[in-house]
Amino acid sequence: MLAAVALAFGAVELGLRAIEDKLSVDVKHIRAIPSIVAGLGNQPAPRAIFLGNSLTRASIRTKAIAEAWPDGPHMARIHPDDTTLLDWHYVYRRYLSESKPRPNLIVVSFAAGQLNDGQTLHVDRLGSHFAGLRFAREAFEQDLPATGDRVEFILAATFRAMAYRERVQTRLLAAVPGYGQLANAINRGVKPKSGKQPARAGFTRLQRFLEAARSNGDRIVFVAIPLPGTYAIRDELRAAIRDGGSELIDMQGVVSVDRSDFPDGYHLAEPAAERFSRALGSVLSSNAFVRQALGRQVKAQLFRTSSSIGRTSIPTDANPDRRSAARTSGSHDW
Amino acid sequence: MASLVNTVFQRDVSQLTGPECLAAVYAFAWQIYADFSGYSSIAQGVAKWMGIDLMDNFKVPYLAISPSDFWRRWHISLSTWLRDYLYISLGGNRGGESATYRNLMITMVLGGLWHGANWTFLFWGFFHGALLCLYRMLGWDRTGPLSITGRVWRTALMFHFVCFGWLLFRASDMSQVAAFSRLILTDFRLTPVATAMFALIAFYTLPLFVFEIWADSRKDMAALPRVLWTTRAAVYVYILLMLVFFPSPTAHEFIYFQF
Repeated sequence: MLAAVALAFGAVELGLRAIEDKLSVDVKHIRAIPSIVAGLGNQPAPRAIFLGNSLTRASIRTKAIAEAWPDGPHMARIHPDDTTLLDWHYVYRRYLSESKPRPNLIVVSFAAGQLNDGQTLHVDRLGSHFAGLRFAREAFEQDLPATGDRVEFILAATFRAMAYRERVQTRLLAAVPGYGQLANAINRGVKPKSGKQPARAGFTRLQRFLEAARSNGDRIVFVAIPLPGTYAIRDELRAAIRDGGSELIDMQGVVSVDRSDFPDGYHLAEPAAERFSRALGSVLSSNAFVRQALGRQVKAQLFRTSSSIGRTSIPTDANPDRRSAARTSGSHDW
Repeated sequence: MASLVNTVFQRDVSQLTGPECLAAVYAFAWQIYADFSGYSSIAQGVAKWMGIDLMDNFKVPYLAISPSDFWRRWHISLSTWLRDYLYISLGGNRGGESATYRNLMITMVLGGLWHGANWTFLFWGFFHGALLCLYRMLGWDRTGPLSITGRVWRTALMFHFVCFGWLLFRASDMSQVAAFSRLILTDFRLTPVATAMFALIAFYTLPLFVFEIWADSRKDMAALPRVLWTTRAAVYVYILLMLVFFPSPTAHEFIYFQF
């Protein structure tokens, strides 16, 4: 009898492996991350990758950025849904930190408290998609002290049935008439009030992420994406990013948006996303840290294409102190 | 179930319809049953490991056909205690009809108050006491063998009486009880939310209910290990897949931890 139960579970597991790309657009995207990274690596330098969640998918249009930043880098996006800093940390560790050639710039786009330690962990997705068994040790030591979480992590890393349990549930329940409206009603009941952050959550995970990036010589820019309401960026966050040798660009208020630009109450609609992306391209193109990160490769193009910015030489060494000094000078004017 | 219940009970009444309220009450009936019965089974199993045999605390309570039948099936440890140490101590049914009704009411009201000092619990106890008296008055608690139809409608009626009791039990105050009752009786707009709630209640509870009806028909709640291995395997696969794909979205403390 146990063999029959195991056989039935095995059949479900095999079935899920056969259809996983069709399970959701997000799963397809996550499974495509290695090819996205490889595809970017095949492009000539400079290269930049945008890392984030559905906000990045909705708000950041590389084509519009390129229009506003003609001498900008080749770009790609990684945006698994409903992810926050710890997921991005492991995406970086697993897919980006050892890629060859590596992107010259990593742009992490976030909103509200997505960089702090108070974010909910999705253990199944950490195990199956982002950290995997390869980074299980780090995950266990740093992020998952509870035995139950560790078991779930291993099961999710091993079985698709565990990895996709939420998605299978969502797909099956979506067949229930009215489930969408019910889910919205339930979510309205459990969602924390707008702007409410976990009580003074720290930024140790962010520091870990920045330390990993710094030890690899990777340059990271954090971009705060607009939401329907303005959110504050805490001084501790600014300090953590600054001390980690990275840059923070707050794009809130840079482009004029109102609630009608957020049809689902959270993600930017197409026209607003285009405007936002062009503005972001413009800001990135004139940001000293960004130009420094892309500098070795961008310099020649800059001299070729823009006499006005050809006046200044771009530092080409990787000395963090020099980078920091250039960034903290506060001048974006070349 | 808890998500459905909380969504409706925490919402402003002006945003609700009758079917939504009814679905929430049904959901709570199953939530509290699964919660308390499961918790009792865990306690029973753990005690068994230590060589202690605990009594069954639940015996398919929603198949009850009368209030006295219900209390022989629901929270048996408490109802037995109330019967032995309160009802019988008060005189039980030895002092004539009116004394019996008085003793039933006192026992059930005190049983309600045992759950907490709240008007809703008091009325819950009062309601069950009144129900016991009413059935006794009508002679419905002393029926002989019933036809299938007779059994089905009496079970359905008793289930709905119990559900009204759960509305009293779950509501934050008596004004919510009144508002929900008014909506259930006067507002029949079937919204997509209500449809989804009914569908989810059926999806999660029907298999359990069918299993209980089957086990009850065999007069053996532990009948499963004695059936054909293919049937057992099918049941275990169902349980395994439900555990994998439909776990509780959030952890909830056992309802009866507060009592």
